[in-house]
Amino acid sequence: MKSAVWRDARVYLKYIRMHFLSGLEYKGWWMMALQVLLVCVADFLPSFLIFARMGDIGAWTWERILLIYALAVASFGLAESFCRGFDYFPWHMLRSGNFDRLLLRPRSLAVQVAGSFFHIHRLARAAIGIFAAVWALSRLGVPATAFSVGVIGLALLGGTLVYSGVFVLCSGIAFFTIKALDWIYILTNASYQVTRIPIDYMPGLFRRAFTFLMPMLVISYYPAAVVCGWGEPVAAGFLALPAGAAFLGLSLLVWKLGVRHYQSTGS
Amino acid sequence: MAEQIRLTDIQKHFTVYERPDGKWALLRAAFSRKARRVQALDGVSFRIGEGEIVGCIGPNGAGKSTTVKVMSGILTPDAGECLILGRTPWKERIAHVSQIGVVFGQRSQLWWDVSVADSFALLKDVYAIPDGQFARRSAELIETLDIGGLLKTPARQLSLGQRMRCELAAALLHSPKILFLDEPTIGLDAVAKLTLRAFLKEENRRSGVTMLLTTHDMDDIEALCRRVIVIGRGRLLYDGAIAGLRGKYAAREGQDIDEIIAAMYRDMALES
Amino acid sequence: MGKGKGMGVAMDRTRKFSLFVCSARACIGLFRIRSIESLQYRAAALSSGSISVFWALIEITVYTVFYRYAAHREAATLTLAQMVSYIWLGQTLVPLHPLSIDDELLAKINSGDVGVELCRPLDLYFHWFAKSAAGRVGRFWWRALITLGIGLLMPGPLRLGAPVSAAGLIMFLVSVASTFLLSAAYGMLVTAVRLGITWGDGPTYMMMLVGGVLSGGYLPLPLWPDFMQGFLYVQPFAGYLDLPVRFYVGAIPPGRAAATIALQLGWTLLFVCAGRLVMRGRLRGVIIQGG
Repeated sequence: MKSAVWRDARVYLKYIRMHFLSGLEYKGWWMMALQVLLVCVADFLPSFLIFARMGDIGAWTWERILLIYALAVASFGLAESFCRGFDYFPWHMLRSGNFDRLLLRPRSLAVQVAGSFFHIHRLARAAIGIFAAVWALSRLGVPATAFSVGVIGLALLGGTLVYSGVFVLCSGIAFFTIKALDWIYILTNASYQVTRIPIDYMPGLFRRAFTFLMPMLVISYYPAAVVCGWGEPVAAGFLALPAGAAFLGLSLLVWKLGVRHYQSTGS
Repeated sequence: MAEQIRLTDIQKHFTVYERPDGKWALLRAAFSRKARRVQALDGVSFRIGEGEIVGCIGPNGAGKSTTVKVMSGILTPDAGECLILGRTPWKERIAHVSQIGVVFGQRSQLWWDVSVADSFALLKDVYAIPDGQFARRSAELIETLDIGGLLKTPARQLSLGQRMRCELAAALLHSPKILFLDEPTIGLDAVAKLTLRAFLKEENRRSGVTMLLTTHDMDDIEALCRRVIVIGRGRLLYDGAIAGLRGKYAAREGQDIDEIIAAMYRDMALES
Repeated sequence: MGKGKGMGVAMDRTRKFSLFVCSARACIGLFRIRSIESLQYRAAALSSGSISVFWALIEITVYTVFYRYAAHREAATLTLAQMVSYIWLGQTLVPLHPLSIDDELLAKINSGDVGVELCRPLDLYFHWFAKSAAGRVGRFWWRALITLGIGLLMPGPLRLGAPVSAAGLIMFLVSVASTFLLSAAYGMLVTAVRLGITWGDGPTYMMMLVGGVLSGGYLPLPLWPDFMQGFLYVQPFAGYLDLPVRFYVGAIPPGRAAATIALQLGWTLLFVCAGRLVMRGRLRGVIIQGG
């Protein structure tokens, strides 16, 4: 059992390495990276400009908003890099029928799917997210203690699990319906737009949905609040990892149901 | 001869959604959808022993691919029993697929953008083949399939004939006990077909791997298989020597195997 | 001789006309197919409509918070009610504009099937122009309608308000019509640029992104810095959604209506010319490459 897990990990790393190397041969990758970078900047531009025009909202400066937003973006970028296969799965694997081939290989399906794609340029989103978070932390005067680095590191780890979970969930649902999948965008690129709303003014519906249904605020706002001392209980800052693991676990259940459905209908 | 494959009364149906036809069909389809049940396999049973090469033929949509999918573990049947090397494919997927190889003529298992050698190296990890065994086996396959010169080439740059040889090597690297081939000669030129058949025959003789191939090319069957299975409308219509088919139809249709098969398909259509 | 030439011109004209009819028929057909497809997959349309609604609600919340609680509330340019309408109409219009190259065209470019298209007796530019526009509108009008409907049904402060006046509504509709031409023309320019690039979508995505950002779809243009307002008004992408929406909420004085529409059409014309020019150059390259 242990050796199977080890072999799966080994195969995953080999896949990523292979995609990375063949990706470097592709001339346009840095241009794509630049494009992703531009998308990230464009995404945050509205917040910057409106803060510039209308000023802070009480204690809510734009550095604060940037920090929360950047943590979510970095997590999304990391998940998008290392779980790209699931992000692509509905359109590039299920539809083309290549999933059959994975069923014929003696390795975990989830690992094979996760490693089936990797695009270097997607790392740009993770990089800019981490960079922006560090910059915001320094502007907010948070020292790099073991505590703050630990909380932020766990937040990124948990965040990567949460967003990977979203991709896994999407792929699991894709087994049942591939046409009505667009709404999943609300959990991916649109989800972190919620962090543009200062938490004190966030409508309860958003706040609860993105804490309990999809723990996006648990991996962005709460760690930021604990590190900067905005009055949230310290324990809340450490929930990112367990919340991420739980979310991914539930998504994997949906995925497993989907695989079973696929094997019984063959479509 | 030990039994390796045993299918007993396998049943499988699919649900297809039909669009209404006639005037305003597209628009009406937007608001109504009719489901229809299609019986793809209706009680298929057969056994295959170790080292056999069995050909599986039947018209398009007869259930050949569904049968192969059930045996390789991609599809779970509604009812019936399928034992392959003593295992039920869909219950023990990983253990099952470690022991079989599958070649689809229409689909590649090589990674498109990386060299053939890199694909082989990945398969070594996927199947957890020990170093020594991998070195021996790959050297052997590279030599008999004559693909030494292709190893540095990415799969997408190979011609179909070259690619098929590499596919075969990829499917046999882990020394499977059973090899399923789904239309392996489709689209190949005459020389490539002959090479492929010669290789399959030799591989079967040398390592005793059991083979089941589906095809539309009767020459494949005549060159490779002593036994042939005919599937039509989800049922097993014939199982036996190819000579038996001849005996049944030759008087009427002459000796040409394609005509014999065509006559058989016609008969099946008359039955229902 | 003169007579012969005259006949040639006449024949050329009838040929051109029949080609135009062919293209037009193809477009109507495509529009119909895409419309029905999107009707058929109602769940899909509702699903993509939900994104627009979600996005609109977030934006409205953000701006409401700023309008009520920000330090410099007086710096706001539009009223909150105008802003709410701006966002709903923006979310309605955005999916109707090309944000990437038409899938079908891109597939043709990537597979090299452009050469096949060249063999057809068609004006390729207008054929593609109309086809991609018809396909997109056919696919997304449902979604746009859903967004619009939900915007109108929202409770009080979240609701899409009525147009400022009948004249405002008419100008809005006229402006929206020219918006389609404008965005389709820009889409074709980007497609033409993509024709010559064999190594990826980076540059064309960026071109599309610039259009999207400057259209006001990310942040309503009136909220951009004051010193940029002059530039933002004359740049082509305001015509995507900012200008029509301003007509609707009454943020453009009626005296400037004609000039504004002329501005949109002027940019459209420029994009068409540039697109045709680039495309002609690129296609020559394709032919030479193809041998």
